[in-house]
Amino acid sequence: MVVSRGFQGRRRSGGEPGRVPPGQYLVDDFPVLTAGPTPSTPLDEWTLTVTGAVDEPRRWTWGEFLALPSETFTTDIHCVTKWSKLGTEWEGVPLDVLLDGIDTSAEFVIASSDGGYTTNLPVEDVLDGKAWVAFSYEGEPLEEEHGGPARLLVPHLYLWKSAKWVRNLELVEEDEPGFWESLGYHNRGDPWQEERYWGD
Amino acid sequence: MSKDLTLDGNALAGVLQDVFAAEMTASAGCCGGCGAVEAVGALTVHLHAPGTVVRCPHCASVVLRIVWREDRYLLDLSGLRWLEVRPAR
Amino acid sequence: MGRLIWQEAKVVEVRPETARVASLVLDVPAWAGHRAGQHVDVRLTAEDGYQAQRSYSIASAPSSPLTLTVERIEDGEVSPYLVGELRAGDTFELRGPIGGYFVWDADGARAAVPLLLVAGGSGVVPLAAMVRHRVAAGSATPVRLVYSSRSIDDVIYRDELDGLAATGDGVEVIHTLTRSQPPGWTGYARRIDATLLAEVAWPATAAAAAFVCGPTRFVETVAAGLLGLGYEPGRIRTERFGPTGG
Repeated sequence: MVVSRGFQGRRRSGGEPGRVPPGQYLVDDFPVLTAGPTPSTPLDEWTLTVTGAVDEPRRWTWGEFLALPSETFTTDIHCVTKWSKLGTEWEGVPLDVLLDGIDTSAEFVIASSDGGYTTNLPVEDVLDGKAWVAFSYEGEPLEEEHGGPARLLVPHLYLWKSAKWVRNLELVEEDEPGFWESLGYHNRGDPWQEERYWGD
Repeated sequence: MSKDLTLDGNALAGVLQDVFAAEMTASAGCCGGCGAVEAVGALTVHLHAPGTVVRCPHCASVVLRIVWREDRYLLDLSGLRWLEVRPAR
Repeated sequence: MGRLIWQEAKVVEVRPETARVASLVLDVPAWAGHRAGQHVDVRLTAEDGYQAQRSYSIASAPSSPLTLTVERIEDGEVSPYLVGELRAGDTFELRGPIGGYFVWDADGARAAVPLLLVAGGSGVVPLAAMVRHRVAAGSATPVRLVYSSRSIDDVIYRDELDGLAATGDGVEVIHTLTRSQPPGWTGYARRIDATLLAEVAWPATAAAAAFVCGPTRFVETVAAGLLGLGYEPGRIRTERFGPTGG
């Protein structure tokens, strides 16, 4: 090991153990991580759909989506690349609203996005106040690079589950690994269990 | 803007040389999506995704994905029809 | 070739180039040489074992002592150490040379045609290695370097490049200063666009070899401009600079 005199590097603060999951460090900014070019669907062409093992698929245009009941909330977010950001403020439509009254035997949902990204979750991880389709961050319309106009937000799991540019939620009976889950990332991704990779 | 986070295959030169024990950026790959043939150095690269995603500069389909997990690489080459590797002599 | 191994590099000299940029002349005992356009990975280790790694282009011609040129990025983790703290006698690790696509050899196929080099900011570093190599090798390849900087004080290797251009030996340097210009400046004063390229690039009929290096948006604008002038895609090689740290 060759030590470089005087080099310190950027030391990262871990924050309080009860508040910040294991292995994470705190950031003040909001890093942008992306698997492809930023998609840019004009709002008059944008739709959000619920499809799959349902009696009747659902579809909202942007105007219809904004007319749905939404809520403002503050939450912490955790990325599998180890950064955590506390106290982020969002506004979004709860998945409880989007899936309200749906008759299905499906146990899983596959979220898919403009640009082809997908991620899979158990349905129970997106109900009971645990998930939203968010369209506003810190009081402003969600920026493109952070998933705007709307992204899935599931803060109790690692942020790769919070699909940016979400367009479709497919309810399925059999689980199907999404983009990162199919390349060695953990199928569920609970930051409190440090479920980063398959087998963790 | 995220456009400025997009790099090219030159940014992968070190990682690919680690994996293949050969200089890879001058080698060609064939896109499984559109059939275009390009030097690895000319492919579009998104470095920090939580993995590296490499796309065809013509049709944007994913040709290569690389995840580093603590002490090993996980590679998905399924987006390539073929890839040249010139062994070091 | 084969697998890259980490080698110890000792700093011989830290040479300031501009207010934010310095060249590091290095001594790497087992260095096997390099080609113009290649880069190295640099790894720094703190006393407690913490490590950080970044990539930097080689600035020197293959026949000269190994030299890197580094721009200090505000808020950066590694570059403020390399340009600011590092001094002669210090050591770090590097591995390389790395690359094989964005390279120019004075005796290669790309030396039989004119050379067009288009640099955005610190993207000039690997292109300067190509110019220095061309000169040191006594090559007759005509070279045009089109170099975009924010201001005259941001131009890296300014005296050397202007000196080479003045010898009339086939190396031309065309500057453009995009944010501010010194009094009496008669050169270009805007970002490189298709019109500027049409005025300074070799015509498409020259079948020139083009290398473009700088930030992503710069590279894409210039590459599109050259394609618009009729350059064949296969004759344009690009290297986008951006954050390589995790």
